[in-house]
Amino acid sequence: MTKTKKRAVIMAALLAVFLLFAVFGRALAPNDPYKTDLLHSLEGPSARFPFGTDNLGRCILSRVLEGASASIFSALAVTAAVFAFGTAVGILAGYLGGAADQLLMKLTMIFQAFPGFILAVAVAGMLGPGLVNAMISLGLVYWTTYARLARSLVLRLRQEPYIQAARLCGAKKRHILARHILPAVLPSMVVTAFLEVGNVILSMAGLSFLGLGVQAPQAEWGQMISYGRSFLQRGPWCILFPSLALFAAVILFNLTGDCVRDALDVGGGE
Amino acid sequence: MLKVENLSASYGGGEAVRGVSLSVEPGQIVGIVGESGSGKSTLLSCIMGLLGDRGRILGGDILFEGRSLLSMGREERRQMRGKELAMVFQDPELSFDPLWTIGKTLYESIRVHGPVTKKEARKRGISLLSSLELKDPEMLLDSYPSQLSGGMCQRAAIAAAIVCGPRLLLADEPTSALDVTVQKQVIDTMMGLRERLGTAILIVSHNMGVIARMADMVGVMKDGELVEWGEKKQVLYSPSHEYTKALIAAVPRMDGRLPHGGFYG
Amino acid sequence: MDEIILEVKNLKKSFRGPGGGGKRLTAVDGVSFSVKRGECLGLIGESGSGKTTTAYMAAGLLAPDSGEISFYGTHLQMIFQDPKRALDPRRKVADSIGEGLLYHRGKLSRRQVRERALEAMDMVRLDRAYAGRYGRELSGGECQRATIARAVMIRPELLICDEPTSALDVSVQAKIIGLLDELKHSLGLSYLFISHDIALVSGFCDRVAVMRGGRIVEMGETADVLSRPREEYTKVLLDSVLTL
Repeated sequence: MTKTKKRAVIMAALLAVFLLFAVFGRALAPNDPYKTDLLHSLEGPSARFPFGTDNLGRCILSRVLEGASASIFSALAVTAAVFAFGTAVGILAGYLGGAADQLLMKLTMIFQAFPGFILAVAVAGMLGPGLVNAMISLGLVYWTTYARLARSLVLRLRQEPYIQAARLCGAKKRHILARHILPAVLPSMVVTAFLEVGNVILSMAGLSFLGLGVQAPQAEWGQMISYGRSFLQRGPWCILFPSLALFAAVILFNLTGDCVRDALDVGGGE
Repeated sequence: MLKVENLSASYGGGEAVRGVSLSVEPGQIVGIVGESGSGKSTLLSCIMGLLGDRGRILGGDILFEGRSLLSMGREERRQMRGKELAMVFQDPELSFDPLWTIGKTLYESIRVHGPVTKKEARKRGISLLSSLELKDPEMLLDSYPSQLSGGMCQRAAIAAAIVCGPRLLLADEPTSALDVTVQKQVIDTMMGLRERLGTAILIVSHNMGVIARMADMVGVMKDGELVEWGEKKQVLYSPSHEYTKALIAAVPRMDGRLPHGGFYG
Repeated sequence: MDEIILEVKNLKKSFRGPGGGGKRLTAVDGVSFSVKRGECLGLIGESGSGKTTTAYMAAGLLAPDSGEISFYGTHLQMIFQDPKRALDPRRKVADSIGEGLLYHRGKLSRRQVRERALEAMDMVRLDRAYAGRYGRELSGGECQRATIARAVMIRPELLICDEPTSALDVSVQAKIIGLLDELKHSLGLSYLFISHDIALVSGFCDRVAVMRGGRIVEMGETADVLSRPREEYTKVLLDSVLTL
């Protein structure tokens, strides 16, 4: 096994462990993440509360575990949706060209004219707070990346002699898309998706931090960080541990993305 | 003047040059032909000291006027480049800085080997370009590489290579990126160089026609080895090695017959 | 022999100039010629003369701005300059070759298509052992054999070759040209053969057209044009030929 492949396997394993934590967060939690206990308000890390407690005496570790699914799976769902939608739109626009292509380019230009996160904040603000609305607003921001990338890849590919040869063999547009273009475009798109998950996780936490995403009392990392700000002096662990979890998630997805890129390059390039 | 003795070198993992020996006399044009992967470009890189990280010299020696190039220090080697031996490449546009005019390139080439004023450099440039029979040298000096045609650019690259008066010019496929009519002009420029300045040339090409037109001595390389070496007349018109014979038979002629591809396989 | 298989009349094509300005560059400027059945017509010229654009239009891969293209056969195929890019690097060689028949297979099963692909590999002398390899694992000459195999799968009457050997070594070139010449006789193919190599054209083509600046400046029997050129440009071109 090559070095890159070995590294990819290790990263994938780490990521899988992380995702398992997210799936079984609630079951693994030592305490009820929503149970308030004012007798233990703002306690530091101890055997009973390994990450300490917040001002209402809720166990931070339990809340970090509970919040993992909201933070990670919402980001994964957004990424999967924009990946599928953006790639499909980009490939079609690139291959069909003409008016469809013009329309798409103008549309993405409008979306990209706004700083991404500001646009998400504005949309989420209009739709009203809530997890689903936050996901919709992030989707609106992120799909253009995939559409533009897929389009540019297709524009380069359609000039390739092997695509021309397929046309001469009598291949219809759908044959060429399915047999030649999609397999050539997908690896780059998957790598991009992996590298973008970290960004989406951060943006999602950011929206929650601003009060536009997950609403209290439901546990979510961004929302926990925002909530913990008030007791930064007396209970820094309220912010430290959700931040660490967020940090670990983003780093893990980015490193895995790098590995996937290396692995796919080895298989699909020279 | 240049003597390569039993040289072996690796490049990118494999042994690209195996035990090659050849020599270039002053004022001589030596042509090396070979197909892709024959090691001919690696050979030139060894002589020029441009092997880089991917290649390594495994054995043998390269003597330039009696001095071993391989045992020279870095600085000594650098001093020699441009002044004693120079090189032109296949793609002329890549050997120029796109943001420098040809005149600036010439000035910088002279300056690395000793102090010179811009005015002096320009004068030398103009006389050099006109001795290479390039039209309108003034305008050429003020042009950027991207403004020149491929052939003009390659001839300017030759001028930049020889501006410090090297006695040996190495040329790696100098005409392969050019159209046939332009190819001829570049060949004429190089031949004129030898005639007027007595510059010796070691040219590497896959194009037998170019070698046949230019060279006095011809070497044939295959899989890193020099399989045949001798006078042009002998190598190209009465070859002794089987590979040379096959290679020559495969060259298309103007005789209305198909080139000979040997037995199919 | 005098039956015409391909006829083009007054083809014109211009492209948008670099930088997106309003300036258009004329690539092909009124080209007319015809190819007879069983004939090989050579199209020679230097880079930028419009010969590749003409080939793409004749193949139907590029729409001309104006002019007429009439193809009187059922199938035509094209061989490209860069053999490595003419095979999908992600597909196995036999699949790429089989594509030639895939969309015209009628009642043939996929398995039968594969069998025909293997037969085509025999015809172009590409070892059947390569069937399961990927396009990117083949040498340039092997790739070109594979693209020729793909092209002859549906028994085309006309093969348009755009510099089919320019990217290959001379010894490989000689073999590929030998193969094309053999197929000409065994399959009764006609050729439109684009090349910058006049010596190569002299041996392979029955008639030759010299292109410059998007126009055909001289056309005639190969032997006539090359031995008694009438146009000044043809003479310059012939003068610059370097061969042994």
